[in-house]
Amino acid sequence: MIVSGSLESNDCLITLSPAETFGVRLESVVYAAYGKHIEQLITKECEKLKLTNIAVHCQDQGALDVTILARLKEACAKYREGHLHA
Amino acid sequence: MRSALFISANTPSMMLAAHAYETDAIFYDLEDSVALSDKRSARFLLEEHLKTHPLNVPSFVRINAVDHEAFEEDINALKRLNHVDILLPKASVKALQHCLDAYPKARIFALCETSEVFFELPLLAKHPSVVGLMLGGEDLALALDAPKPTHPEALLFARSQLLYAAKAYHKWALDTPYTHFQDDEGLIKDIERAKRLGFDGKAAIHPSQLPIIQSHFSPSQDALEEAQAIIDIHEQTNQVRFSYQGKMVDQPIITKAYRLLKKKDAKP
Repeated sequence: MIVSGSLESNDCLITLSPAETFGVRLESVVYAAYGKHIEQLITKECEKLKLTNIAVHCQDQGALDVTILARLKEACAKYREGHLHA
Repeated sequence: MRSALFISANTPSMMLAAHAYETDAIFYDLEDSVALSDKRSARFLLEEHLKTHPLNVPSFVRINAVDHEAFEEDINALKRLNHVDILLPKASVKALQHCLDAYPKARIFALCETSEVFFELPLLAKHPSVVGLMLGGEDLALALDAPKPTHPEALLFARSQLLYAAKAYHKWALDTPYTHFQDDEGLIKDIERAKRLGFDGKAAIHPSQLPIIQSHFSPSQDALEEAQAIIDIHEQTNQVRFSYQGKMVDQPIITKAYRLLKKKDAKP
C-alpha cells in the first residue's frame, strides 16, 4: 500500500493498493458538487501515468485539481520505485 | 521590497491562499519546512501549483542548499517551470557559482546564514545574478552560539555588514523573520531596529505578520508629501541647496527624496 498527501484542509490523501483491475474510490467533502469531476481527473491522470491493476482511494479534504494531480504523481513515483510491495 | 512571506511548498492550504496575501514577494520553501521524505512530493505540488496559478508578485523558491541531496532535483523542477527566482540557502560565493552553473538564468536572493559568508559578502552582493541579501538569523545565531535573533543586540555586526554590502551594490536588504508570530509587540520592536539600520524589509513566517511589516516599512504619507515637495522645489528652481520648512536641504536629501518615491512600490 502506498500513501501520498495528507488529511489536512485543502489536501487529499491518496492510497494505492494492488488490484485485479483499475478502480477509484473517492471520499470527498465536496462530493456532491465535484465528485464526478474528481473521479474523472484521477482516472485520466492514472491513464497518463499508465497505472493499471491499481485501486486508488482518494480522501479529499477540498483539494484543488493541481493538488490531487501532485499527490497522484507522488504516489505513482513511489509505485514505480517498488514501494507497493515493500 | 518591504516583505516576503515564506510558504511551505508542501502545504496546499497555504499555497492556495498565496494569492490573497498583501506581500511584495513570496518565498516558496522546499528546504527547512519540508521533511526529507516529502521533498519530491513538495516539488510535484509546487510544479502543479505554479504551472496553473502564476502569482502577480515575485515568487522565489527556497531550494535546498547546493550540498544537499535534493539540490539537483530542485533545480530540475525549476527548469521545467522556467522559474528563475531562487532563494539560495547557506549562500556563499562558491554556492552561488554552483547554483548558476546548474541554472545560469537564475536570479538569486542570497540567504546569508553561515559565519563564513560574512567574510565575502561584497563579492556575493556585487554579482549581477544576485538581486538581494537576506539575513538568516536562526541558523546564524546557532552557528555563532549567539543569543536568539530577537535579542536587541543579537547579530548586530552581521546585520550591519549585510546592509553595507547590499547598499554598496544597490541590492535589496531583507531582515530575518521574527519567529514569535503571535507577539506583535515584539515584531514591531524588531522591525524598528531593522529600519533604524536601513533594511528595506523583513521576511514573514506567518501571514498575520504581513500587515505589520508592510505598514512599518512603508513610508508615511507625511514623508511622501515632504519628499514630493522637496523634489518640486528642486525641479522648479534647479537649486541643490535650499531651505524647506526650516530645514537645510542639499543634494543627499534631494537624492533621498527621489529614492523614497521610487522605492515606494518597488518589488524585486
